[in-house]
Amino acid sequence: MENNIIEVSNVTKVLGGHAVLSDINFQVPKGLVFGILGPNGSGKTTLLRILLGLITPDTGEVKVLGQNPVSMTREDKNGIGFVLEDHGVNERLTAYQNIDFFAQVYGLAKEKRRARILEMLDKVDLSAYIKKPVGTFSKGMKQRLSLARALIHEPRILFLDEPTSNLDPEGTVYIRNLILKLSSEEGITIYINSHDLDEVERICTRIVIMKHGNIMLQGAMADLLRPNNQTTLEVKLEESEAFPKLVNLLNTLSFVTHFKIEKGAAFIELIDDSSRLTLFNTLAQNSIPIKEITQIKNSLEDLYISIVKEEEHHEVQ
Amino acid sequence: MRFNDIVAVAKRELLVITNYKFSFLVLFLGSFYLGTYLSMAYTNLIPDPQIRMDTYLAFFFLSTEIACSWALSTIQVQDYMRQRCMETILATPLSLASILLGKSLAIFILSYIPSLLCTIIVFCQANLPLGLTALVFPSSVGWILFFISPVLLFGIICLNTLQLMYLNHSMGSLIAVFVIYLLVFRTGAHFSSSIGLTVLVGYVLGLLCVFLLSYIGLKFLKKERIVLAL
Repeated sequence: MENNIIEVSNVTKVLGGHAVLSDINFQVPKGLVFGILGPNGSGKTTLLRILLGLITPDTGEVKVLGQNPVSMTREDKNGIGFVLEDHGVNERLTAYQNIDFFAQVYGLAKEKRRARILEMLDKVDLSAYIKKPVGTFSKGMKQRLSLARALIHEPRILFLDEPTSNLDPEGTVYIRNLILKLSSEEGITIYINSHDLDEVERICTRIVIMKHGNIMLQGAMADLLRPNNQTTLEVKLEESEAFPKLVNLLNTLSFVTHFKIEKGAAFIELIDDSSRLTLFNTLAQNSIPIKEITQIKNSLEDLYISIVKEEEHHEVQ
Repeated sequence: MRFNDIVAVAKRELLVITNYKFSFLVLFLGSFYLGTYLSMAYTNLIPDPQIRMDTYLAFFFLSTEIACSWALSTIQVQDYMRQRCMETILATPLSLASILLGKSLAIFILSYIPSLLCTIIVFCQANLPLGLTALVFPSSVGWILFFISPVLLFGIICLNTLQLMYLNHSMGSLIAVFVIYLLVFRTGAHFSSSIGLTVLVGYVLGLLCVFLLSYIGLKFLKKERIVLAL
């Protein structure tokens, strides 16, 4: 329990007579990159606002760093950094002025402040723009500035709301790498709200998929993409005449759970990872002319679409 | 609530308001003109220089300040709507009271300056025709009003900022403070020759009213209300 930096238990929130969140339960262990995935209107932002102490849940309990975010002490609140979807930087002020305000709010001593601001601006590659008004910045630069702002007080957890939405590919890659660096090098727990499947798949180690205020699925990314620890291999042969022999062989193997021949290749599902080597040896011993073997990875997109479709199917029924 | 938080918010607001250079200059000069020209158009009708000064300090000093604070609040509203920074500020450890007092302090500092300039002009206007042989100063009531008015002004600004926060910084929320300005100005024009204890009591009552309303308003204002209105 102490290892969890966020604990959400039975949280419900009704806004305007509509249940925005229904019985939400999950925990976020320390040091992870945690993703909340869901379409617009799934309740991600409301949940983030609850975690930041901006709104209170109708029922249930939320703990961030072991405290209720609404009644949190100032010291504990200093352990939280965040970047909301609207950046939160004032375009009329310079990069330095924007960060300086937050540095003061988080209680950084005057003598340390300047050095820390310069260090953070350097970290996000904005040292050359220190005196420039933020209004002249690109979206990617504003996002980087917001990250510098959120990290100024060395938080233990960083909440990010759609960190790469509306960014160009270059900006997206930069922010993703920065997030991974913050997690791996500085041990900051990262909580990401996103509807970008690719982004979540690339950087999150644990996810929650939400829809209509409900949790549809949650777990470690690796487990979700490989249910029951199964492995799927795509086997291509040198000669298509060898397929019947392969089919006969596969029918006799107990560690093969399922297989199909499709588009000139055999798709073989194995009971676990360790069966791969046994399969390779068996194929070689039986002189199957193998051209290529590729491990098939389930994508988050497949998983997400299957969940959403299943939900829609239930709704229709 | 920490004093440093209030100072940080006030400093930021001052930077933001003065950064809207054109709007700031126009509004600042406009309210200064309003304070000097309109107020003096009324006070100049009073022949006695001391009553003239007292009248200015009792009503027009305050109305000039209110006009300035109203004008500067429009910049705050403009900035609030354009920048959408409020949610980020609310999610920091800043309390609502610190945000309110910081914003109000910035407006107070900026709106007090033209009023003081107007006071100097009124003082010179009353004394120069007399050849500076014996300087005319406000009466004791006038002095008290002079020192109370900044406190009353700060209370009015707090109340204004609070109602801007309640009404999600809509332009319509500026109407309320403009009504207060008109009320004070009209009262000044009506009672210009009878400055005394009644006016002083009115000031004190106004002061109590404004701070009580601010306190009650702040007690019931929740971050959730502001965030959900965004």
